[in-house]
Amino acid sequence: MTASVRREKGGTPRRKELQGCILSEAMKPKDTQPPLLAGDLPSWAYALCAVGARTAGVVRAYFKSRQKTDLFGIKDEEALKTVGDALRKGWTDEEACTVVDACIKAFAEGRRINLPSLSGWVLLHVNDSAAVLDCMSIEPPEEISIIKVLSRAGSQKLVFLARWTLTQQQVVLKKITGLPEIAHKLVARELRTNPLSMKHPNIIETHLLKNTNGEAFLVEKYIQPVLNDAWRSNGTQEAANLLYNIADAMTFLHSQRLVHGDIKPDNIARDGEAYILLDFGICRPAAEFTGEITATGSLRTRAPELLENNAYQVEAPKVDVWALGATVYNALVGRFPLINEGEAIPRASDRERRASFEGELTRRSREEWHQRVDLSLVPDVIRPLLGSALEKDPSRRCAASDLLKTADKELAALIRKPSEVGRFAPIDEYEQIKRYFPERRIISLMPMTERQNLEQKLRGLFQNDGFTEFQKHELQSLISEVAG
Amino acid sequence: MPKGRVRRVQDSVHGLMEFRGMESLVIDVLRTPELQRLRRIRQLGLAHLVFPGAEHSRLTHSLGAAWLAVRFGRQLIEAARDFLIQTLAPSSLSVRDLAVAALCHDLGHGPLSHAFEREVIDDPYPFDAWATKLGIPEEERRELRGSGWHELVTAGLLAWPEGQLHQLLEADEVHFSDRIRLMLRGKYYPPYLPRLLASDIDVDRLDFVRRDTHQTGVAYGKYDLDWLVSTCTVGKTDNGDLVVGFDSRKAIRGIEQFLIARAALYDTVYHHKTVRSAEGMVGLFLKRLKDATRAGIVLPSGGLAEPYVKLLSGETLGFRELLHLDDFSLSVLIEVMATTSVDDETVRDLGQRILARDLFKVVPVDRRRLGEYLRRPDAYSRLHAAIQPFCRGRAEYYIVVDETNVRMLSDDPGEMAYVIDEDRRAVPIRDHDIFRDYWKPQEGLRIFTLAEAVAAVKAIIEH
Repeated sequence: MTASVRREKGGTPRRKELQGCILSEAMKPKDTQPPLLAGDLPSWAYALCAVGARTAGVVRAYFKSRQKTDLFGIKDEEALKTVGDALRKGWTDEEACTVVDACIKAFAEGRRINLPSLSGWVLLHVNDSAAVLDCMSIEPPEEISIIKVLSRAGSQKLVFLARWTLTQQQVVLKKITGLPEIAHKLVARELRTNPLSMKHPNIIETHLLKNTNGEAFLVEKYIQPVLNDAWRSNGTQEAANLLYNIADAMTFLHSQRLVHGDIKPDNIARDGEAYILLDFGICRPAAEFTGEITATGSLRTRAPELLENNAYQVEAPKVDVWALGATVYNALVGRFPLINEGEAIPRASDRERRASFEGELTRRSREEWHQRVDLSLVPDVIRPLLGSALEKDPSRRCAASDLLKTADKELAALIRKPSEVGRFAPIDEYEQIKRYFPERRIISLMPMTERQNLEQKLRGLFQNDGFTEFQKHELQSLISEVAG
Repeated sequence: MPKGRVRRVQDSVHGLMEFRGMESLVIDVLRTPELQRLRRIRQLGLAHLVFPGAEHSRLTHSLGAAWLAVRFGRQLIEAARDFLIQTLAPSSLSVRDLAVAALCHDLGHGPLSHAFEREVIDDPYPFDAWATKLGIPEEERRELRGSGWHELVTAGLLAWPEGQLHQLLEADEVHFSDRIRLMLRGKYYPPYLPRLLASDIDVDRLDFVRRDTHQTGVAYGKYDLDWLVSTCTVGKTDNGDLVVGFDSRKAIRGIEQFLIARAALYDTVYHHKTVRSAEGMVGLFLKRLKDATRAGIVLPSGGLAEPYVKLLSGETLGFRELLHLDDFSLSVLIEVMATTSVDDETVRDLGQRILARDLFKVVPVDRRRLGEYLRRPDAYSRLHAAIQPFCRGRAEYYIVVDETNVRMLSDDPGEMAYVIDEDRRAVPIRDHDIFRDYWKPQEGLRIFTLAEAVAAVKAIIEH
């Protein structure tokens, strides 16, 4: 196989092609020549050779075949030494030589890899040449340097943790891979949320940046933690806020006639006291989700009508509502409505098993709906709301805006809303006031305006739905203490 | 009070102090006679005998503390954001209250505070007689029992119905003076604010360490005040109590610097041998005056010395007389007793020596040895016998035993300072590795006597 890496016009070599390099002659296991002596090589090469015989073979091959001028400058040599040191920390010779080979090839093609970054990638992705090659494979926009790979979402998207030097922040950098026309379409789709992100506090902030070759990248705020299937709300309050915040984002999306299409824990992050909707890779206008389109998004949160018909119906936005209901259900109960606890979901690449699992879910939806979507496992206060989101019939299922409106009223005590001093739910306010309630004589000596503020606050809290009877009773007695 | 009002004061330590809006009440309070008395009391007592610049008054210190209360209060309004709900966060009203309380925290101090309280007021002092005289309400009296005389007088002056201070506060708002008194006793809403008035790192200590360093000119007492203000925040202890503290990620070195500064001031200024000798001598002078009075010697009365004569004979004072207690009247008292024909040689001699700055000298003996010696039952009688030939008065009034015991970190939970981590968890700073040594007491023991008797005392102690 040729050792050269194919470059598309204006593009960068793709990871698979870089991986192809590992088959170059010098790296084959049969290469058992003794390592070169220190005197024969510059110190950077010696540092790399010390990783192992195969890596040494790659280095030696470079010296054999090099032209008159060296590829690497003096600064590069120092950095390569650091790469060699990093590769000696937990890397196998086989994986290391893949990285070294790809690096030399890239330089040979005139593509400059940022070598200090390379040693960082090597340290962060120990013995994972595929991830390091992913980092090497792209040329990020100026002002952005890649820290590590966060995820490789299928074959369509590479997601990195990166540093945006302009703002001195860590950001998420997304590169849409695949054929240029598909990439273009996907970028456009994700960017649909770009203007939205500036308008809604529960939608991830996204920017579009291009590198010198004109390739588009998406840059998003790096928010931690991102929820996952194991994330539990530990009570009603977090579940209520999750439901409220995402319903809020969704109401906004739907009002723009857009459908997210992939609501699930992994696409929601918690930023301080608020939940933020992420990943708009499937998001598109509701009108595009037609009967001809096959269902997308996670199976865990796939709406029953998609399972049973495998196609979108008239009310595509209701798919998002069900998915949110399923996400909140999982946070409360510990499993998604149609999935067993701890059940493994076959990956999309495993088509056969995936298809049979989809069939099983369809069967569960048809035959075991009532046993599975068991709302008795959900706390009383949130049950009716979750019930209306998890309604099987999409025409009877509530819209996101109804969900938001009802949550705003019925879960009012639990919802944290931004205020002058931060985001506090009425229940937080109640708990803080009760815990630190002053003794009577302190109340009697409080400045009148402060005392009136406290009384008003308590009376305001009393008006909220979502408090238990006991809490209401407590509130009432606090009010009478303040009012004297 | 007009909302946009700004009252500006230039301060030698803090620079421009701007009291804005409601905070400007501090300046009105400052003008009342109760506060103005502090202008006539030196913050450092007799330290000016050694450090000539140490002439600053308790008033400047109190105003500095009030300014720091404003700065910390404003900082806490920001720091409480996202952590405490509006009603529990400080408001401009509570910052104003904190500043007024800080301004009044030293209101009851007499001249030479500690020697004065020990020798003139008696230790322990007749609490009930004073509380009655000062009109302290029963509930407050229960809480104040056990506290120092100056704290009782502070409460009394704030509660004095005819006093300008009380009237000014009550004119601003009914129960204002009650609230300030309660705050000075550690009770307020929000509950964490009073800790800024009395804890290991509070506005009182933060101001006096800076001010005393500046005025005495010593170099050791410097620390980064701005940094401490800016890292001050609110957190929660393991018991769930809200406390003021400092950001554990940022403030550790700042706290350490402050504790070192404070410890250095004790070593070099507050416990300076000459300062302690002079304070001890004034203490002995007052003690002799009291003993003589109670033994029936008639002191010249009238004028500025009058309140002292009353106090020394065991009487309590009314508010107007209390307002005459200051460094000036004390120095008049010493002058009168030293120069008029009081029928007591000890009083006259000690008074003249104090006026002439003819101070006792420290006896150069090992501290441990001195401690062992003083534990002997006949220790004092032997000392008195040895020095009597050198004394014009009675020997027991010519020896100062100076025992010091200072802790940089208190073991009283109500006075602990805290560090607060990013999750708002508050831990007492004394539990932090770096500060474990700071709460061990720094003990000192010295003995002073007439210069001519030093050798005799040394010989007795060492043999």
